[in-house]
Amino acid sequence: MPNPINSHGLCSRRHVLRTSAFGLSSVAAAWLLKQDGLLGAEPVKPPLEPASYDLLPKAPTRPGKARAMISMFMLGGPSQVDLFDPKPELIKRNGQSFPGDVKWDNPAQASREIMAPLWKFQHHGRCGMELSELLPHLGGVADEITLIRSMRTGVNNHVPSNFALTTGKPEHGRAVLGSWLASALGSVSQDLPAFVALTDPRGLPLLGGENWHHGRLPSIYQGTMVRPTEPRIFNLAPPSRLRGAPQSAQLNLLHSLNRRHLVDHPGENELEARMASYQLAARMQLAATEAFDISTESEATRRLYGVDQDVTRDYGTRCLIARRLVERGVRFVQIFCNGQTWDHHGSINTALPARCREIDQPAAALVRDLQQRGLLDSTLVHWGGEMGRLPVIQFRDGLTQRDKVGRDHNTYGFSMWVAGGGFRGGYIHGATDEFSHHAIQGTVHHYDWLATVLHLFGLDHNELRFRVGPRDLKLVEHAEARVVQDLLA
Amino acid sequence: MRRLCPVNLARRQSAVEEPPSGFKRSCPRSSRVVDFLVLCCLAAAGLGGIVRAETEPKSIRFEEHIRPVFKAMCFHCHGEEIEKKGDLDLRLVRLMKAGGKSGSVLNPGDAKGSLIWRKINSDKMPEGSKKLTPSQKALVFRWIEQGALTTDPEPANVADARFSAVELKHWAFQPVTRPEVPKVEGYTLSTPLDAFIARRLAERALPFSPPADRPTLIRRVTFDLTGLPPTVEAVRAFNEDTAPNAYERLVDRILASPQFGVRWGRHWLDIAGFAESEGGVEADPKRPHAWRYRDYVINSFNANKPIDAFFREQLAGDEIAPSSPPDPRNAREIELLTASGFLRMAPDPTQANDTLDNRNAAASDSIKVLSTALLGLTVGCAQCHDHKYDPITINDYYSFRAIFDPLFPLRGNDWRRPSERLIDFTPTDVRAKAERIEAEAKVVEDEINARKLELGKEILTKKLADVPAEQRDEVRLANEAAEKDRNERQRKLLEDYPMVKSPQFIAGFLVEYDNAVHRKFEKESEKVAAIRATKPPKHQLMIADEKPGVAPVSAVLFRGDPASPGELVSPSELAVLRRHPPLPSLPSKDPNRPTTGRRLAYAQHLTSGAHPLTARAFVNRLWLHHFGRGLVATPNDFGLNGDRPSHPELLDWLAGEFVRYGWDQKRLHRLILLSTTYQQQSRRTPRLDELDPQNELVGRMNLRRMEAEAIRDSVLAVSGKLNPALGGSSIPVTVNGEGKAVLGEQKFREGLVSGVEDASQANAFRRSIFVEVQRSLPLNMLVTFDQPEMNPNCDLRRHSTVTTQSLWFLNDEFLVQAADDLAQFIMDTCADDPESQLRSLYRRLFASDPSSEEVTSLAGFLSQQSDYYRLNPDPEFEKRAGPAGKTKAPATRALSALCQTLLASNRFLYVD
Repeated sequence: MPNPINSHGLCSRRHVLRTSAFGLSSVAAAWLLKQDGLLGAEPVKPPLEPASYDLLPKAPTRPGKARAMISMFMLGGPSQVDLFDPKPELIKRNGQSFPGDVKWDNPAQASREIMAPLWKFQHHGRCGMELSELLPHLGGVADEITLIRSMRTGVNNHVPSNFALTTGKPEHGRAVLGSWLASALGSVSQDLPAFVALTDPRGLPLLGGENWHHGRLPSIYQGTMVRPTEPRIFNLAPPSRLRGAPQSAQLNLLHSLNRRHLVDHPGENELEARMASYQLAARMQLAATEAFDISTESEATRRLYGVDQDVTRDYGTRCLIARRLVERGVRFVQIFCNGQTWDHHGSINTALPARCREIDQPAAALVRDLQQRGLLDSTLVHWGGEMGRLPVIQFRDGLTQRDKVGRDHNTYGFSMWVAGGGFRGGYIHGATDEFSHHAIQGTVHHYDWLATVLHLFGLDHNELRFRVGPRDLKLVEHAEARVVQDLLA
Repeated sequence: MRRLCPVNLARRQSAVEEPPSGFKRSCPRSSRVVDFLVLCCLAAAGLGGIVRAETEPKSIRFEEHIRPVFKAMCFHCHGEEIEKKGDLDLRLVRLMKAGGKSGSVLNPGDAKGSLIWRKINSDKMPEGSKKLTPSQKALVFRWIEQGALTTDPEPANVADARFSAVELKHWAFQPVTRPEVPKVEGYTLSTPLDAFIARRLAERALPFSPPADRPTLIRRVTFDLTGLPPTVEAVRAFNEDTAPNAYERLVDRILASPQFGVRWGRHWLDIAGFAESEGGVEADPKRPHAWRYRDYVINSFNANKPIDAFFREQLAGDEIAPSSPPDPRNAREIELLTASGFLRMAPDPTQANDTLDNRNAAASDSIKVLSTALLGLTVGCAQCHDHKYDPITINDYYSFRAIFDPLFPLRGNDWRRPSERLIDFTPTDVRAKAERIEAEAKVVEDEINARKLELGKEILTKKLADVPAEQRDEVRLANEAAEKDRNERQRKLLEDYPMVKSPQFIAGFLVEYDNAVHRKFEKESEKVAAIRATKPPKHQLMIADEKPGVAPVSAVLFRGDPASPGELVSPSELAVLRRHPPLPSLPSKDPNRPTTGRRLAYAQHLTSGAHPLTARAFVNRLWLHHFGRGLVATPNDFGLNGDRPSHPELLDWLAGEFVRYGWDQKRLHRLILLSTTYQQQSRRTPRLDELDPQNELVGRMNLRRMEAEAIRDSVLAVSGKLNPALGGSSIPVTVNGEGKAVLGEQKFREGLVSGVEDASQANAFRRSIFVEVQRSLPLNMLVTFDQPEMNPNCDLRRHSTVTTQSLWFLNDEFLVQAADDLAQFIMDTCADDPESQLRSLYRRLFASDPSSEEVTSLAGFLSQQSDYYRLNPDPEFEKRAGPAGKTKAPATRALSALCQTLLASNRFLYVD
């Protein structure tokens, strides 16, 4: 026969027994207030215990185009001057003194000497997007991407600018975008984490776990760090010496121990639930292992991402894993570089090409592959750092060491590109001044960027709130934040 | 009988991923409709059965049936506030008849001719998204049709209609009664409380469940009182004690353990909302001194401090302290001041952001904490409007809050931010030592700084050398000029050579000018830091401190808005609690002391023994933690919306005994633990499940999952690593590179975070209560097992069953390490045969011996796994085992695998 009791208390008779000690009338009074509670019209009562949270999929407030996001985060600040934002004026005035104010971060090695882009720009695609010769593969998907040349956070160092872009404000301790998406939309897959951070084999990004921290949101919305080597997910995969047969043997033993325990505890549903949760955990381990295993991808796909070449193997593998995760229902994947590897204060002429060689082909492949699989429309792809660089020389080793020069920070006007998820392909948005220092047209502030991403997910940045204790948390707190309509398809 | 049907199995499996909702209290609460229907049937037909016909009260009366609906849905606009919408007041039937701007709204006997019915029926009223439900509407319709009757004549003064008789008669607001201990035949009654339980069991013809066996009992009582498993020695002593009062002696031994205070202190810290960070803002600044309050609580429980004194000290320790202002050199006064930290536990964002709203939030959170903790009432719900269920008006709320207003002077300059509330009681010798060390550090530091400045000068010279010769002198002069004295040309010139700066600037910015040298200096500066690290910390306390002479004007805040103070109020107990016993009015200002004396007077009233809630609420919590469920199942809500007591007379009897014997909590523990009721086994039976599925009658013990802290502490205990030391500053928690909150501190190198310094072995193995409680950074392990966030406090823990818990048991390095430790311990202390190893293991984990069947199957597992590991050696494990352990490595690994599995098993995780 059906079990008359369940943990949801839908058919609980204990209240009958309890209330029977009191006359009918007090029960009747309670009944008046309570009976419609079943219909959901009862005023919300104060919570008796901590609210509980889950990662079940949730519908956005209105239909959104994007269902998942992959962010290729280029911490350090790739030089827009050399990659994305060609300025004839800089070529013309190469070597001359910069007219007007320069916003240096590091005066110790600063100069006003204008440095023209060190690489040539070429037109790509039907849209004729001008991109640096360092990014030939990206040129191949120019018609699919949106190039934003007018990003601005205005906080001129890595940590605050990173926080501004990912948490809405240049402060420690706030939840990052991925956590917000996980809390608002949950995850399609319950066998995989909702928010995944793929880290670099050479090390963690600057600030490590703060890049995927849930801030004041419940910890369930924290990003799960996927290590570049086994064990890829903490606690998801067993320690190496337990992997495989040893853990299977443990699980079998555990199941039989728990079954025997259950015989002595008939009817304890929670014990059975816990047994089931071990099975689910085992499933998760399999699901994640499967998702990280790119050996089943075709040779052509692996070549597309550059998995077959040393220089692109790592980044290509992670881009490919990102696609596999999104395919399997993961909401937000962020691919990190180590440290702040795009922070080219010196030796930019060798360091920047080296970085570009590693990521150009895999990043472009990701866009192409998603498009070919019909996933690009629903997957928002982002490529960019927390800043760009100045058009003037930074003398790392004195005025005479000209082969080791670089560029200082610039958060006042920098570039990044996005694709899919409802962004407008083959489009260049905004502009900086003639020296690529300040955004002057179509400026996209960090809060506008976040508002626009939320919009594409069907979320309103003004309405997206999360109650923790007595107060509401918000991702976007700037009253002037707006969705950048021009960016939308 | 209790086999699973597929439907339920499916639901249960989904509950694995969303268990919180599965265990939410709200569902059973809203099932009263079922209760009521079944009850009617029970009344008519005796027992059981399923009822389908819907029943409704025959004669509908305003006070009993209609008013609760209107109170929750309408009074806010039409009654409570001075300005009533449409000048309409719905609090009395005659006022409805009189009506408002739109004329009379009620025409008794003619619902359709009554405006109120038309508005409600068409959903024009109430405004907003919440409407009356069809059945509520039907009720209103029939009430009007029946003539809009009241039970009693209505009061002449509308103010007297704020509370209905039903509300005022609510059980929790009545004085504690002195029930006779019932006479019950045929039950083993070990303590008087058994008689109360037996009487209700007898009504259902249910017996007590058989007593639990000794292993079960010692494990249960040891967990209950200490949060740890019993030691092998304790089990042996108990098993060998043949005296008839062996169990009683066991209870007394455990009650005397200092670990008792850790366990029961933790329960109190939950409701006090103990946290070591300010909360409320993202930065979540730390409260590095809050641990002293934690130690105060633990010590108070261990010393069996009478609970009335415990409450008084926490509410008014500063006012009890004989000196004024209190003398921080006097140990007793320090204790009293520490206790008053209770009133400072709530989140307080004003350190970072001192706004009126944040001050108000800190004040109202404190009221929430103390009212749920001490009164078991949701007083905070009346902060913006009259309480929707309980007879607590918004005026009551602010009068009650006025008792504490001198601590929370919202307006003006009397507010003190958390850092300004610290008192320093560092002893003179400690202070002198700190000053001496600081001076020492300063000498080294000054010397380093002098050399840095010299270097700054040298670098400047080099930078000037880079400047073309024709401009060099001019640039040098411009740079030497004070910034305000530079002329336009000099300013321009310096802009062209931005690296030319003053020597002081360069010295402070060496990292960019000469990183190699900068690193050397950083290395040297570590010496300074090392010297400073030997400084003894200041002794500081965060206390409830009234500024003498500060007594802010207390007012009702209109709709809870601190910017809209209205009617003035004076400090007072809630009106509904003022009747029994009649309370002498609280002083606004006690002339005999510098502070207002309000809190002390209130604390004395609260602990007079006659207060209807104080003792009941505390006794109920004690019951809750011993049985897994309170006599009132909603420990924070004894109000009309809370659950009714399952055994009201027992609750009162216990409360009465408790007060009569000097609020002696250890006596109360004994009373409960020695009862037949407590010593029952936990096994469900078909008959019990049929008649009492939720075990409300306590015809058996409840099976309970360990709390987060108990799991961690128990794993450490059985693996032999637990450091049982008590007290002291907390073990810090920090984020490691993977974003995981772990025990340890950030390491800094060159001013940047360079990694995590793990907690020392001794610290890493302390009990969980000594782990730092940062609201925004709970230890991953603890939060995985439902350690609550203090926002502002936690009244009832939930117990979820989620996959992350299973993954922790399967894969977490903490547990794998503990299993290794346990295996090694067994290898080191047992004979080299599986049977003695398994016996030793079972005794440590389960306080009992394995059955022969278990020995056979587990020995089989061990030998199988040893064989496997012999063929598949793990180099790392073998390396750790060393050459001596190498031959034993496969067996040790197999044993470790078994240990881990046993630690993960339900038998370990649950307490019978």
